[in-house]
Amino acid sequence: MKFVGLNNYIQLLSDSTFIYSLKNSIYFVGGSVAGQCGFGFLLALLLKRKVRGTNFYRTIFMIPWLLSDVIIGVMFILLFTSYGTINSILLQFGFTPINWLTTAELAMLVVTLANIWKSTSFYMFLNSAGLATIQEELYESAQVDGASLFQRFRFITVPIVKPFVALSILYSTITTYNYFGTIYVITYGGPLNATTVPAFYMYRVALEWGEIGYASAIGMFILVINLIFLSILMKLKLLGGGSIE
Amino acid sequence: MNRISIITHIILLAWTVFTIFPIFPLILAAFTGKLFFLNLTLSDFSLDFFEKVIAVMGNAYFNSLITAVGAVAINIPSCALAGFAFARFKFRGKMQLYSTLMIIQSVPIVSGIIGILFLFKSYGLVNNLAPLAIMGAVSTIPINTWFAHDYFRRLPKDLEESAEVDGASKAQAFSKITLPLATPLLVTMGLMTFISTWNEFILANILITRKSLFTYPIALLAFGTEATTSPVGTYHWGYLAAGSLLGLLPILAASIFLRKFLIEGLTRGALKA
Repeated sequence: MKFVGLNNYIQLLSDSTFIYSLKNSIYFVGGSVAGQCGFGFLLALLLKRKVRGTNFYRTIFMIPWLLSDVIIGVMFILLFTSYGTINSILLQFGFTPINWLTTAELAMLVVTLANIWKSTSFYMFLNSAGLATIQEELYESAQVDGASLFQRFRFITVPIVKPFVALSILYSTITTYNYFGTIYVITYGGPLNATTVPAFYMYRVALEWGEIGYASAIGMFILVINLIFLSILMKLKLLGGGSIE
Repeated sequence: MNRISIITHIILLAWTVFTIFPIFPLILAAFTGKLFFLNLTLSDFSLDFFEKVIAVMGNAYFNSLITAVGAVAINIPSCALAGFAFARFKFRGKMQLYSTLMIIQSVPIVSGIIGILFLFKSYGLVNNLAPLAIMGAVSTIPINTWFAHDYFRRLPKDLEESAEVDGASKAQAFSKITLPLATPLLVTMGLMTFISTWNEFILANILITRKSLFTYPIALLAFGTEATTSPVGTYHWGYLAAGSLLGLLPILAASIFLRKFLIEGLTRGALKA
């Protein structure tokens, strides 16, 4: 065995594919976090209103979160492949079909959409747990005092759910940043690495090219970023542990 | 007020449509092999795809089942005991241990996937379902311990204490008094582990190369690769969709029957609440 010092890390910094994958992951993570947390919070807020069919909605919304990435991948391939459902619909209405999976930006859009589709319900449940801690009397007394719907939201809901929203944003960032299940199935990082994220790049370097040392260097990079996010999480005291005495 | 209700329903219905929509092409393709619902005739519908898929993937189904059941069998005793210890005992380093679990929960397994791979390879556990069951059990240990701790913390201590006064040991009090009260907890934990092991494919894809040991997701993936590389790709969509549908059904059934447990577990267990 030969000691290579920092060579792998130096190679990492000048590896254009790796830099590209970092750039991709900004889009992938940004889009997914915005979608998952935004819709997750909105849906939690709406379901708190105890409309009819709340249980029905919850059951339906939960389903994608339970499915295997392979099955989700198959679904989105069937939808977006060149002769797939979406293009058939477009053709039916007289539009030109779009090459979803072979255009760089659109492929990224599809994998991000698949990720939002998959995980939004988890963040909905997380925010529901936050909203459930608000006591109804607070709203009632505010209403008696003449607070409008917006004011009640702004001065009662927002302060209480703030930590839960922060937790869901951080948690979703960490999870998405490390996630490549649907990317593997739908695009396999393509077209031309346009949907390759660092974790998937590491996987390919290790298993297709067999360069374990270099893959480990990528792994270390990923881990360091994870630890940064984690330390923010710890700093904000968002993780459980308060219940330990 | 009424207008807000209407908007609420519209948004919820829209999200329902968004959630269900991708499932339709799957069902359609599984029965007809086509991806679009217009221009279909009755003769397009058949069960051929299912027949072939069951013949080819029945084995994989069985492998996945064994792996997932194995993972549950490892996971539940470990997490129930750990959660009980966190809820009832005082010991040195408790806080630190608990924080460590939370940290592990937040660092995804991908960061260590190369290490995990070599660990199992060095033990010769390649083409073996055991490492998949072990990883399935391990990957849900933090969250399930969290569930168990939270659940036992809420159970009153009095019952155990009175059993101990009557001469039962701690272990007896746990197995005879506490555990029978914890059925919802055990169901939730079992489901979490079962589903995540059933769905796992990245590690399985690395560790299993022999076809007879393929788990369901990687058998499906192998099918998918055939579909996309074949010159008449459209012909294979039916098999792929039928296979996905068969993999989706147990999860769907479990989630509908055990909806209450799952939603409660998720809502409460998602964080300290």
